[in-house]
Amino acid sequence: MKYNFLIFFIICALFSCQEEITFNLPQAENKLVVEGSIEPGFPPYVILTRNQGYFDPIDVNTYNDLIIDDVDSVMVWFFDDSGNKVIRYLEKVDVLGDSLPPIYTDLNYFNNSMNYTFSKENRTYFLEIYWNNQIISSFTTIPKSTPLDCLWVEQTEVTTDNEFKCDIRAMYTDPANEQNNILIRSKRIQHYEREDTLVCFNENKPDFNLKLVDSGSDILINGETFETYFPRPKENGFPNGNYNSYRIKKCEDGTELEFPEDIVLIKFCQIDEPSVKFWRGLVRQAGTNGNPFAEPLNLVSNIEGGLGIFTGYSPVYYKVPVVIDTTIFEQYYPEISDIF
Amino acid sequence: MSFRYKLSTSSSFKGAYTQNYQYIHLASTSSVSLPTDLWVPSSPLIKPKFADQYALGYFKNLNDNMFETSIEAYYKEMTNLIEYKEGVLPEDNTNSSSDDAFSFGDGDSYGIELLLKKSKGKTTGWIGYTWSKTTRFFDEVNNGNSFPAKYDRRHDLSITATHKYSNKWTFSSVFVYATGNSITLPTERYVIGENIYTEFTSRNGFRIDPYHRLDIGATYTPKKKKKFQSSWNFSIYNVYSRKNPYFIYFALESPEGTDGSLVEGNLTPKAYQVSIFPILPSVTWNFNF
Repeated sequence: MKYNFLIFFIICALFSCQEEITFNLPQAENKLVVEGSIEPGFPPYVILTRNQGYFDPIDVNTYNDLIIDDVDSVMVWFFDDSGNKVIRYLEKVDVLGDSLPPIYTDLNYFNNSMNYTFSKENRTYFLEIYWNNQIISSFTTIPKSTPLDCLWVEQTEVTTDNEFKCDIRAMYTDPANEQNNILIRSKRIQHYEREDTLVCFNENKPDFNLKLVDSGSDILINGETFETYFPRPKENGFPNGNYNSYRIKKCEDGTELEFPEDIVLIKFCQIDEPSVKFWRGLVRQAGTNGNPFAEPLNLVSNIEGGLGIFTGYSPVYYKVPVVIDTTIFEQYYPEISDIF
Repeated sequence: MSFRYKLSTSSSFKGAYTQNYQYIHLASTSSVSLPTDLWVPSSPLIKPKFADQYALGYFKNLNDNMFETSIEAYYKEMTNLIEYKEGVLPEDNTNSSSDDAFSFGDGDSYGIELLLKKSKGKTTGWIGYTWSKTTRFFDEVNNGNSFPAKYDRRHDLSITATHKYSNKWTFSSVFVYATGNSITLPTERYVIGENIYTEFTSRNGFRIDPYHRLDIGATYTPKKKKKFQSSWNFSIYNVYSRKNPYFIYFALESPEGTDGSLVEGNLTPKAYQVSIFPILPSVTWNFNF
């Protein structure tokens, strides 16, 4: 009996309870989510999805339900020197497969890609989408591009078994007396992985598309020359990974397997100010990665009547083979498949 | 600076004006109602908080000072307040300049306090009620729109009563009620580049459940001994075991052993409330010597 009080108090303390609760929130308004892009020499494209209430159930049909492929029209235009609208209607292309959203783009590009002059630097483009009896609109400006001074491959700080891990570093001189807003994307266009099967072999599994590395303005580095590095974006959207240089690994049967180095495509862009606000916020939200202590952040959209972003990119591309001490000065001129 | 204007022997007006500097600041996350508030000292970047406060009240005693009543109104203006910037984690830049995690702005607070107190007789106690509103104004937060402070408490009620039943037994009870804290709630999600992003309410745009509880107690005081006097107190905290929200958090849960993804459709959005201190009986023995 003498422990009864003690046990009772412990039970009380432990019985501080956690319970699932529901909130009486109004139904989220059905909004179109726009991921629009335009860059010099390539056709504008948009990917369209819709939003979902935070507490709405997520099942196997959810992702497909979010894909929007029934818009009435998508058009992009600019005003020429005479003030006339130069319009391109974007049409649906299922290039990504059935399970991913279709891309709406300007099919005129594919007839004469060499002389495609619709998208140019220092020009403002307007986007208008008719969907569900709504007009969703936006505009963006393609700024002037600024190249990197150079990029190079450096071995990551060595610990056991990671001698092949590398970072891509770069030197950049920010133009003085103008505001620059920078966005960096990258994808591995060559990346070998070992297949876990009975037979020991490797397979090239390049990244499907360009992933966001970072975005920000030049407020703190205006006019400066400085060194930076481009970590590899991981699956959760947070960039803190490395790249692989050439290495040999042993299989379980004792044979050795060679893995060629990663080859990385770096897209280094200038973007306008509304775009950098959105992409900077997106980097921050990805960085918090669901941490409940993180201060909430709503992405600042430039889409009137919807969510998302329409960005004019002014990029320079670099193709970087991950070979230690390789330095790259030359730009890479991309194909249409490289810009996604 | 304060004044009192005596209307009669039992009633008066009182007024006060104060200026205060405060050199530490309370920083609270607004995403979830977690008890993770930090006290942050002033620094070259974080200026001392400054407040102007005006108060005016009418005070009247009734029934030969058996009852005290008052009604008081206040207005307070605050500058150099801090809030976490949108999207930051409290641990950001902790090794360099954690002050960069803050935005700076102003605020105001106003309200009315009512008090009825019985201080004579076998039964004593008081009823106190406050209606108040506390607002923040930050250029960098909530798109520059005003928003309620986390601890903005529209209603705050306390009722206490003590009854001296005999020389040996005294009974007491306390009831408190307060409007729930305001938090920023996730409202919708969408996909950009295969990743899920969340939209939230405006800053502190949602109220969690109110806090209330009833405590009762009885004190037994035996006859005084020569060398010491003792008393036994029997009390029950939170008599009706109200599950008051201590903190609330959100989770996208996936099946065990997997990360889950929107594409695979195996995530379940959930909200949890953690409550502590349900009904808690206690016995206390006090003695003086």
